Amino acid sequence: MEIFALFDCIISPACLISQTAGGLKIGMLLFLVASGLTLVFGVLGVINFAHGALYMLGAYFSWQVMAVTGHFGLAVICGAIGVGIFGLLFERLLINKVYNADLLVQILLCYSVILILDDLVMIIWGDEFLSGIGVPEVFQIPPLFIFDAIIPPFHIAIVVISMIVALLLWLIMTKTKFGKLVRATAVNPKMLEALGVNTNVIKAGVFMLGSFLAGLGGALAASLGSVVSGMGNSIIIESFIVTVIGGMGSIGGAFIASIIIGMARSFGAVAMPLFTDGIMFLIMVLVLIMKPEGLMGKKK
Amino acid sequence: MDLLETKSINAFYGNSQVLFNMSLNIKKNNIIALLGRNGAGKSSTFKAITGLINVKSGSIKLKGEELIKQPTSKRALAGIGYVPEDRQVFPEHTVEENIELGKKNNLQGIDNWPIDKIWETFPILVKLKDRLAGQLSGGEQQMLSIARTLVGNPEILLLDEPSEGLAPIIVEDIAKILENLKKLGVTILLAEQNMHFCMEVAKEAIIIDKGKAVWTGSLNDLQQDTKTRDKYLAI
Repeated sequence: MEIFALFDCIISPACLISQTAGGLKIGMLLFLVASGLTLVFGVLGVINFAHGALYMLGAYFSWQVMAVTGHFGLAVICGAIGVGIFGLLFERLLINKVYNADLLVQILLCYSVILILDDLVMIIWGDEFLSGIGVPEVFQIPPLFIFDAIIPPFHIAIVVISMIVALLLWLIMTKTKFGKLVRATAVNPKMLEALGVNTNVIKAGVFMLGSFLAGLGGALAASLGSVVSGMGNSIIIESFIVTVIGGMGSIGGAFIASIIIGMARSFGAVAMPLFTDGIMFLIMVLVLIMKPEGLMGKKK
Repeated sequence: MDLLETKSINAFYGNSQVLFNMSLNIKKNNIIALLGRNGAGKSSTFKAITGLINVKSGSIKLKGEELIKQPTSKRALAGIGYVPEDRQVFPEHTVEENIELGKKNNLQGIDNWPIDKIWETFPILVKLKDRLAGQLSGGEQQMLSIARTLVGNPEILLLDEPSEGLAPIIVEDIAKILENLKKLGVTILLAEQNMHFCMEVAKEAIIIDKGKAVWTGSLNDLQQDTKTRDKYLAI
């Protein structure tokens, strides 16, 4: 363990700022994906293991739109919306059949969808790594130097976009009629039905929103790295860790936990480069021991 | 034609039958008491009418329209208003948001219960508007639960034991509100164990026992009829 390296980093403004910025970028991208996962769990009670596959689809969809139009913004938006629509079909045709089913049945269904999608993208786009959609032209400029820390402007843009999405999500959930209906569905769907609300529509809407977020995360990730079948498998594990640390179903909790995990990865890479994944699990274990319901979860 | 007509309902919780050929006829602009011991099937009757439990056979007609195949939300849109016995307010929504969640016009598209009329009918809720429903007292939650259903302009209100667990002085307040609703022409089917409470607001009663309607008549008659009372209502 390179504990001195971590100490050196913390006292050096350049290292501190660049690792913090890196941590924020990782954390906020993770938040986009994890918020969708926790939203779906909180309202529908389903652990959507296929959420990572939806993230992968977002990357492929945006890659395809980029290949055809060459427009970055359009590629990201179409990637996210495309996955949202795919999620709606997935919910209507499959997931809604297992809402009250055994957890094992839910996992089996999601796992089979992961396998099908992983193979399907290979059939359509091939099994090679596709180089991502790249950074849009406006951000192809020299990096910013803040106290000698090198910060690519596009990373700042990603953090800002994710923060705006987080804010919009909060506004939707607290201020709109849809958000109020979603929160009520999470608490007592039967009572809501008795008041004349068709909760199937709400559930489908929530799943669509969750899928949209996964797709958006995947599309943005496609700008930072390559696109490949199975790329959702690591993000789903990280998203679960975020969901557990933040509290299952809590979007605010997912926000905090995403930043914690982002920072742990970023500073962990300095302190314990061979154990960065381990740090995430360690934090999760600590939270589970001290606050089993998660940082912002509700006690059952 | 009766407003609500149920015929020979057989309803089940899982595999166990809770209603046996239950038939009821409710006329418009009336408050009818649904009496019976604990476990007689009062709540089950309401849940069968709203579609919250499985009804295997029978007929449920509201204004002549058959609802038996309809899901719960459609029945609510058709005009079945349900106020459950444990109130079931949404605890983390404010009072105003709870009411907003119940808001809908009736089938004709008419709103007889604009929000101002709700505040007028339930003045106690006005100053609690921004309070979380989970922080209200039992009586306040009861009022909120009734208000939340009324704002959806139901044809009939199924009110399940509104006096249960409340202090006598609060029960008086609820009785006054029901009196008021009666004057406004709201039709209410009122499930109760508290016969004294029913006497204040209703004239007619139906007694159910072991999942079946066994007696129908006026509450005054029932008051005199100790034999029936002892048979079906005494604990």
